[in-house]
Amino acid sequence: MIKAIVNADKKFPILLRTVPQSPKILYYQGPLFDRLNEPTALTVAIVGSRRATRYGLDMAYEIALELSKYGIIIVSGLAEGIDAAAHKGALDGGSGTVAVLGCGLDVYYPYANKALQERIGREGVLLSEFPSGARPQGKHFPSRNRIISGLSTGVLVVEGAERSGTLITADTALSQGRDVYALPGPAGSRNTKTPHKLLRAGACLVETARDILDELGLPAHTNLSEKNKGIPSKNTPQLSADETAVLSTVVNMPKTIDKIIYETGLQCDKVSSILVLLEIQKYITRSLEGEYVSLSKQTEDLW
Amino acid sequence: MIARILSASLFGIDAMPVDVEAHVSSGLPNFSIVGLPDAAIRESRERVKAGILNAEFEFPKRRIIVNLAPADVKKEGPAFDLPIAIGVLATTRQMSIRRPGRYAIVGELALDGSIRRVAGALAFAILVREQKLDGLIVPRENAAEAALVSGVKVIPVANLYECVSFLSCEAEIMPYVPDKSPTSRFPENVQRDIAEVRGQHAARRALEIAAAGGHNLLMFGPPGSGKTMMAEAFAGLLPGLSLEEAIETTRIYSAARTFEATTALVVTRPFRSPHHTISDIGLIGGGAIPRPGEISLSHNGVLFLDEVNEFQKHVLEVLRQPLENGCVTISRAAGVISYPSDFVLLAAMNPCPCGYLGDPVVDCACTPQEIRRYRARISGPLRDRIDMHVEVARVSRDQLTSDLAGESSITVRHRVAKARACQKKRFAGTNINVNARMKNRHLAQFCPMDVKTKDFLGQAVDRLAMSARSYSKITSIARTIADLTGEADICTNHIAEALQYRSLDREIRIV
Repeated sequence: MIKAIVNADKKFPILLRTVPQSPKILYYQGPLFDRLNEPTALTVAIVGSRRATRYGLDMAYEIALELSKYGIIIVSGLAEGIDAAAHKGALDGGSGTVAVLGCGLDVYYPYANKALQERIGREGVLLSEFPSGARPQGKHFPSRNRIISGLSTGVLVVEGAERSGTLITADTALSQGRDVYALPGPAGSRNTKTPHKLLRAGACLVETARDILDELGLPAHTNLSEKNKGIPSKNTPQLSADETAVLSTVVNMPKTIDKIIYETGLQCDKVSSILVLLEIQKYITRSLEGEYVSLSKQTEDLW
Repeated sequence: MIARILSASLFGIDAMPVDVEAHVSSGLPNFSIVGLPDAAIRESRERVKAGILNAEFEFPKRRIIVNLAPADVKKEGPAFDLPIAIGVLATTRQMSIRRPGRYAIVGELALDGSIRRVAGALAFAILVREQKLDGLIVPRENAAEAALVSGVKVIPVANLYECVSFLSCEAEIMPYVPDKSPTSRFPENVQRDIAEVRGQHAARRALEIAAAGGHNLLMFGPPGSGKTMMAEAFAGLLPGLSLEEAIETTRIYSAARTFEATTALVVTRPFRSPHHTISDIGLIGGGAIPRPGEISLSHNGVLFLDEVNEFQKHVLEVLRQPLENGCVTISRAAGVISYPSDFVLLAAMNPCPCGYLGDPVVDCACTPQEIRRYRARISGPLRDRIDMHVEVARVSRDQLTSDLAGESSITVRHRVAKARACQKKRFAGTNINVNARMKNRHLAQFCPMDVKTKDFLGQAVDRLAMSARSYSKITSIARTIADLTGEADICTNHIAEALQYRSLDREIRIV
């Protein structure tokens, strides 16, 4: 059930009303909308690249999960990649999430996130300034980004290429007077260009959810769980020596099949079949770039 | 009086017998040719006139009519010049044909009476053998080509005068004897050795499998990753042509008039790489008078489509039938012609619209949606006919210089030949020769799998979200993989490796 609310309405999200060029009207769907104006509600946006790495996806999920467990509402843009990971972490953490769309609420865009969009409509809230049926257009997205940052007290940038929508969101956040947090990544990777640029410009460096909580001045009363590292520990003993060798090459870095052949010293046909076996058992997956990446339990279905 | 000369015309890659009848009668001087001649034959009148005069015969100032029988089939090409000239000379009694036996005559006349090469000499020789004629008189330049057909007496002639003296028994011309009898197998296509490709273990393995099983292969990788180089090396992984294959291929080249005058026979496996602006007719053949297209010129060889998604969509669509049947049928007003087109298709494309996806140096600026759309441009039906997909990553400069040279083409070819021999034995008595040509009924017969393997395949297709149609492709690739090591049964390892080569069947899933 899609509802509309005008700027003057007292239920209109207070944080968003005060930003320059605040939207005149908002369409929304989902039970979480009323919570946005509760005095205790805290919102943090997590944004990043659509073509994310496994590291970025895991971190976005992890941080969103921990913040959500703490009661913080996560805002993002329902794009593929980091946005989806953040929404998923937030839903799993229990505090719900806000997805701001660049199209009508009844339009599935991107279609790959259809299931997620429906779930947020049930458990969180979908927001848009565009009426039902509005198609996604390029010009909608910068305008959507100002709503994402406008709704939040701070914006965490996880990954982003040099010139990206992520960077635009961060700029909007700054001009709206929001805090900007950035997650560092490996030097030289295309996806760390934006966060590192922001860090250089004085953004707050974030490694764990705790860093954001500290920034927000929240005490540590829940013990945030340690994030799991290394080979996912499901039935590992079943793997043969060769399989373990192949799996261990891709744990920390995505690699092409040629690199894996080179590092393990195994024959090509052997490596090929092992990779497929591991993929079927969901230890690894193949990225769009054709590289193999090990999967962690939480983000595996995001690939 | 009437003179009747045997000749032949090309129809597709085959020749058909044509009787050239010449009749001279009194009346106003006139020279006409009837029997559906094309423009080249109509102009033949001028060449014949000049050729006869310059060979120091007389051109009669009477009414001459030449009929090409059967009269209801369109005939083409200048190969009738010589039989028409002989007919005119015979009917005007400037010569008499005393040579016993029935000879077919083909040849184009030059104005000075010398004789030029014609297209399709090989097909003519085959026709002579089929019709049990006594010999074939051909231009000297075509003699080697025609002599490839064993059991045919090939008389090479250099000019009209020689031909007349031979037919009137005034001179003898020795039948052409090839320098050496043709070998049963010809050298491989060695324009590039696979050892020149550095790194790329996975892609090289894919090429080997494709060569062994005759599987069509799609490579995608960023510019400069060596896709073209690998395609060029691919033809060299296939065993050399057999004599029958070489003759078949030569007939096509001969009919297409793309035949180099220096060689009698196409002896290396063809490697054709048409530009993406090619028209559908250029690709599959056709035209008012049909000519073979690139796919037929790749017969018994390799057709490489670089930047495959830059080709016009309808151009790619016409590939479907030939890929399925190994031949292409073209219907035109001039008749229905079938050209063989049994080739391995190699296609290459960039991984994404900007081309740099996965490139270690340059960033790719495409969104997942754009990439999905880009890959979807290869239509489903065509993709169904491409057995294998392989990603070709760009190799860094360090790897280029440090990586040891891989196996050479000879080593790989050796394994390919073994696997092909294995298939030949298996498919004896069927109309297929390689694994890639197996239909569903063959799969059941030749690719038995135990329950465990079958379960594994079913599970894998499920888990990797592949389409159901991938089943048969995966099975046939697995069959080839097993053949490469000489194993009789397909096991899970073979299936697992085969799955690796169906990456486009998977949904592109990226958040």
